[in-house]
Amino acid sequence: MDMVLQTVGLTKQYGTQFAVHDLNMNVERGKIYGLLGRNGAGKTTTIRMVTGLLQPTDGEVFLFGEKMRTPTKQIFSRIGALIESPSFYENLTAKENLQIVSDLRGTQSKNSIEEALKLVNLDKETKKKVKQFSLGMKQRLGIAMAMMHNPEFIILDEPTNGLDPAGIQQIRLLIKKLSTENGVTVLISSHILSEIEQMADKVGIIDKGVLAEELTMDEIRYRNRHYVKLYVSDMSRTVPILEKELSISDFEIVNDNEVKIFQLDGNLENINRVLVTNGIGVSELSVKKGNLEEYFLKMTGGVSIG
Amino acid sequence: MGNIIKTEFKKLKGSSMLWIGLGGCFILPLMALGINLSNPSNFTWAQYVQQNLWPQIILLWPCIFGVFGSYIFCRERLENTYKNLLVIPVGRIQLAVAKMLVMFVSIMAMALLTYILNLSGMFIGVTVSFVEFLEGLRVYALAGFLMFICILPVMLVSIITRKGFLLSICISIVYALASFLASWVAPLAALLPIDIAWRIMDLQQFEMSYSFPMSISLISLSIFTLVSVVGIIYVSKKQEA
Repeated sequence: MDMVLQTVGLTKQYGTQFAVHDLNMNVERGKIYGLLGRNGAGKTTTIRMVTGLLQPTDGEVFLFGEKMRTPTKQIFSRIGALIESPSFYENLTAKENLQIVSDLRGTQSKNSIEEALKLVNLDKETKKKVKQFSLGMKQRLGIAMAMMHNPEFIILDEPTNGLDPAGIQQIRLLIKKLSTENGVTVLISSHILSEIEQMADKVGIIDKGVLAEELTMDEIRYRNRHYVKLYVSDMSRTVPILEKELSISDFEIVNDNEVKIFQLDGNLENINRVLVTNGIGVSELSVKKGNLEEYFLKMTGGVSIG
Repeated sequence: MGNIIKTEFKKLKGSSMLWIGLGGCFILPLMALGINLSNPSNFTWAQYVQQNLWPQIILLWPCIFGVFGSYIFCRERLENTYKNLLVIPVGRIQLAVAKMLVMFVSIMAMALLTYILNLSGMFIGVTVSFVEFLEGLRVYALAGFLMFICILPVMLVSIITRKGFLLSICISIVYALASFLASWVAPLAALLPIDIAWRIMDLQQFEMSYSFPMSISLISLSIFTLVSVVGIIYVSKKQEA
């Protein structure tokens, strides 16, 4: 697998506190990686270390297969980033702000600024100074700044903050388009589950500076698929009955009385009848939908599943 | 480096600090004009410009240039735009050097603008020949250069403290006032940057005494400059974005 970004044992320590601890992250080329975590989990600290804004206490960052010691033009010309809240020179217009970045990069085509502004629907705001922009407009300008030079790898730290639903959808579609049509790799951080769920190919769940889980969206959806919730009086006798008499192997014991059955081809009435016939009390038998939010809360609450 | 310097100048467009700096250039020439209109005296051009120069050096320029320079250095952190530059990437040392150059050019431009505004003295009968004008230009250019050097310690303190313009204004005012008061204390007058600038300019408005010879004053000024420049570069390199 071709990795655009890899972190090995990435750590940031302040005194005795770990903001990020032993983080091993792998972002594949051409995929959208969602870094999901609560506020204060360490998402922005991780991104700042990856982009060279913060010196790690320990660990390594590999960008495009090369160990990153200090940011170099060779590597960073291939990266675009929007980190934390978007910030600009407020006395200048959107175009002037982008022109400054373009001048410093020195590599842009003449139309790249206009195209970037058009992409985020700011092409009409030619006279307005940035200090007159709303938060959503600044967010879009930040995204334009990150994408202006057609990078191979875009890092977006909570890019939908401050956007209205239409704006969020627009950004989501834009990111997906960049990934699928242009093969751009995207690292996007968020504390909003639904945003990551709709965009990411792979998710890293970070909590208290530790990467609790890193898996594909397909794996997450599999772990959160529909199931039958069964509440029984005697688990020790229930399990053999499920396996031998009902031929059910895909299940998970939650506690002494609760079991989740993921194999849904069985007849619910039959399950109930067989268990009751064998003298097992069944107090609940219902079909449940997997809940990504519950999964996330379990991961970040320290309770692991499966 | 050329691109960095060019963009540093572009960033100043329309900023309120630039207007404050430019406004500061007008203050003393217009005040001098006003005072002399009500109380006319016969001045030569050299006397007129020196009369306007000494309060610039000892009080006004340290305050205005101190705040303006702090704005150039500190705005990236205050407006949180430093991260945008670092991910391009723009080198931290390159950026610090570019900012110092921009500050130097801006101070020189403002000093020379202030000098040109002294031509308003013609309204009160001050006459000037081309040679006299050039000599006065040399004096103001030297004053601007020395002011740039004197302001560098204020820049270093501003960068270290990262507390914004209000602190820079306070530091600049205290720095200017302390230098003004120190001019009556012979040992300090020979060692503090602004008083040394006064000494180098050899302005005749006040008789100052110095405990140490000019060579010691120049060494002191060099040390202040070296420590400030090295400090600015070091802190810029080490501070986290």
